[in-house]
Amino acid sequence: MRPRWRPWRGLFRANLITYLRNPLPSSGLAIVLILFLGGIRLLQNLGVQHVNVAVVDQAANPASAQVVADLGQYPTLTVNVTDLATAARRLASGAADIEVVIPPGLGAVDAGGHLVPAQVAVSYHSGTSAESGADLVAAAVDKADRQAQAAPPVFTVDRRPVNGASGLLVLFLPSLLVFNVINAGLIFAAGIFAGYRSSGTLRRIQATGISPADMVLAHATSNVLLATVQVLAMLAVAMALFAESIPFGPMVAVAMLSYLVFLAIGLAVSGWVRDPQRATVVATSVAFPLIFIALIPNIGAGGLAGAALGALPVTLATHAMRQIVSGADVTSYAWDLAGLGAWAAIALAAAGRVFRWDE
Amino acid sequence: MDPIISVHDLHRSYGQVHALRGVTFDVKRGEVFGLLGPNGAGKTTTLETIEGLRVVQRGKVVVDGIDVAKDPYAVRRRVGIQLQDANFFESLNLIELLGLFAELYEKESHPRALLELVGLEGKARSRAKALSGGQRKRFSIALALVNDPVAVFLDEPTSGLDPQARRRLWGLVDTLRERSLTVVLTTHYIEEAEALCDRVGIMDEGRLLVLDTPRALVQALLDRGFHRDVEVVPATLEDVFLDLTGREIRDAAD
Repeated sequence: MRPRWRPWRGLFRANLITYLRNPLPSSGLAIVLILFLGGIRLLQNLGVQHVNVAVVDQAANPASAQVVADLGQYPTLTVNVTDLATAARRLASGAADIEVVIPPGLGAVDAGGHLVPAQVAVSYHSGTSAESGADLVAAAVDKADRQAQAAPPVFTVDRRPVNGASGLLVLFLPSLLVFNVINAGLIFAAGIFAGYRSSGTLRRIQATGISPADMVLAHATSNVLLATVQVLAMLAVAMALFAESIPFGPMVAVAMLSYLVFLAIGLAVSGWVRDPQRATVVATSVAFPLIFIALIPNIGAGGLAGAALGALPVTLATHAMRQIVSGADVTSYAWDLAGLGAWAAIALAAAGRVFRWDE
Repeated sequence: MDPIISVHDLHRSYGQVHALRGVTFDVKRGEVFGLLGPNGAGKTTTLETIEGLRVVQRGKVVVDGIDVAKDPYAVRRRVGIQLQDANFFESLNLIELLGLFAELYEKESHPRALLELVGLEGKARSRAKALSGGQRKRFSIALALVNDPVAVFLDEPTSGLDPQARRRLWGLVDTLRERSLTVVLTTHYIEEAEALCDRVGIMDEGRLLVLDTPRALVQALLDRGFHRDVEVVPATLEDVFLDLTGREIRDAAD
């Protein structure tokens, strides 16, 4: 039987209205996971050792201003320009980790028009993170020295990060996305469907003469849209928080394919287990180990167990997403996509076979 | 005139339980037809088989020229169905639900007119879960009329309702009759079948025992020599109830 447009549109709209009017059950976990991303970012920031630099600019000329500006470019340095007495007091009290004194002669020229040698004094607490900060101060002064002598750098460093995103993002973002997809597909959508069935809503809809295919298609598409919005929101927040570029398209594609798999598994469970309360328990029992596997990527299982774990949709989904976040190309996760496609076909066929309108 | 519904030798089993044992009857166009019987008599099973909600295991059912066994989807699209216990998308209001059902049936939507017909025009923006029992039953009938059906099936439409709400629903069935709509209803209230139905079939243990007009059924009983000592009671307790609480329906009361 060919799917019909108007019944699909009506059910699609009804589902969306239901979700919009009940935002907490439909999107509560996504909101919590977004907050969790924010928490990870906060912890990351707290984990970075900031170095407080008290700068005394006795030269007060363009050359010294350039040094101060260059110091401010380092994200790990917090620069404060102050007077000599205050800088000394702050260094002594520990309020500043490094005291930098730029002498009056920096950038000055003699009667012959030659630059006068000048020495920037850097005082710091040895054996602390201030030592790395002192290296950064030295690098800034060195840069100013070359610029003053109009000597272009001959040996330079080309920094090439091997990951497309920070380690924390690669570790957590795919896990959180898959967590949300499992919850939205397997637990929430299956629960909603079981609830419709137990309350008689499905039976009333059956009485209108629409086919199971129309019903499942409308339910699936409205839920996929909801899940897409959630995934996009999580990706956007992750990009904003971590200032990283994540390929939206491939991530959303993998998330939606995964969602389809878990939704079909959820529908199969809700059709297979007659009692709606037991259906929710079974769906949750299936979902929780999968969520565990998603959250802990390196279980370290080998042999047959490792192969079995590797073939699970959750493993395929998280692996594919980690590849994408790391900046890998499609060939590195093509098998994951193929595996997810196979899972979707199997799960949808199973869901179709055990579909029931009533208890 | 051809019957709009024709049921012939209908059987139905649930495992070892025989729910229907050779039920046969016709329903004429435009009549209010009632299936009366105790709980478990097979009324709902008969109704849901005619509606195409249950598989025809043995026998033949034709609705408006369509063989139910061959195309149950077409039958469901053509008739109006009010189920005994039905729920709706609880977050949608009545207008939205009527709009949804118009989409499901692929028909034009006339939600205001339908709500006016069932006396719920003041509840248009209410959600289904906010309706009382009687209001839900009436709204179910509004939903059953969305697709301009050739026949409406009402499964125990007044069960669980107080006398006021029941009377109001009777009035609604009369309105459907005035519109020449075929109505098939089940009930286990004798007085309801007598008040509403042009013809009544009495079922028990999966069999249709008799089928005729209420008056003819009573006359046949008398002809068989039935006699009951008649005590003329000028009023009943229901009359007392309605006299005290009013015959006009208050929405809060039903």
